[in-house]
Amino acid sequence: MGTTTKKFTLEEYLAYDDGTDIKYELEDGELVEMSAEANKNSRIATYLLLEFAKLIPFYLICHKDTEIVIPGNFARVRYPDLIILTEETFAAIRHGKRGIITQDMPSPALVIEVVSPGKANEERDYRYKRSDYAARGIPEYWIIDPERKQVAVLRLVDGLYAEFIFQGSNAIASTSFPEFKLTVSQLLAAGEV
Amino acid sequence: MTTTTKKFTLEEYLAYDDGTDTQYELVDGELVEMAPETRGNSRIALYLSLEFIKLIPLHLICYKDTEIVTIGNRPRVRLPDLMILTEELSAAIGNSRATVTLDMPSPILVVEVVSSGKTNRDRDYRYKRSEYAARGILEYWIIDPEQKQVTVLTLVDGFYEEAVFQEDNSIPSAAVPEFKLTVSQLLAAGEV
Repeated sequence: MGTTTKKFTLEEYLAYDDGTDIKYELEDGELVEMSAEANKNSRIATYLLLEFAKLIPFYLICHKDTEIVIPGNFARVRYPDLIILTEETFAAIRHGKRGIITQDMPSPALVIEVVSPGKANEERDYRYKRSDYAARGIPEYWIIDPERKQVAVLRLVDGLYAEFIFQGSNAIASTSFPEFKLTVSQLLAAGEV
Repeated sequence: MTTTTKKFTLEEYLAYDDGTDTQYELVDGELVEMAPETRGNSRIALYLSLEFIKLIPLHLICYKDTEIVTIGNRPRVRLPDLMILTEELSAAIGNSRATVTLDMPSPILVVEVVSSGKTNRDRDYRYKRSEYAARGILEYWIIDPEQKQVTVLTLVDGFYEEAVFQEDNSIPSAAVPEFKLTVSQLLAAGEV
């Protein structure tokens, strides 16, 4: 992961193009290069995408293609692995040039991150993004952790996330998507293929 | 507490004046009237300010007079009971309206004294906890006269670690390390 030193405004970030295909998040005005996802993590996200497609209209599913703006000291822009939109969020972004959920739009229903190894990556998903997504009012946030073999489901209750940890043969229980039925082992097995 | 229905932008909120002395916070575009504090709670905040004045220059202490813009779906503006600024932040606010905007550095400490009732308790313990963490505020104290406890939240890698203190525990502060007061001493100010 590389970090540049110039401070970017949100507008500068949105206009930024260094001619490469590298994706960046914006953290307090700094470009942070998204490290290439382990193949196994990508498979978990894809598998999950396919499971959600059985339950909800495909256009509500955003797979590594939609950003979320978190207003901050300097702007932050997050690039989640998977976002499940509400119909209202979809209506707000559907005609946009860029898949971006800006500050004035309603929150998506669910955001999912698959944790990459390493302290910086773990902290980003477990700590920084947990605070960001709670403040942004995102009702549910899943942290899928292949290394610890667990899924943390965070549910927003009166403005703060309550944490539920699922492991092994526990079914992942979602309040937003009660029809979702998959155990942690089934989900993580997608990474072991 | 009453809530209006018109959606306010940050600019409209900052320009808003309904001719009364009512103080409002801005939550996701809505004006939320601040319920008057009980006298006991006000005394606790005042007593704490006076303790801080022994340790910190006056211009870095904000007692119920400075707003802070936090992070939400739409703009949120909070009016904490007490804030401790850095010199850098104090300079950034300067002589303009006492508002810590999103482009300014964070205060080093924010203190809230909790009022009774679920709405008030949820606001300090839950909503503001998420907002202040995302805003990057390094230390947040929740003083709770009802539960007779002080919760010190310390920002570690973007997320608050919680420590709860009661009775003759002194309240440890990374922001103000010289601070020495026990929970009982502090809460006694509300019982006078």
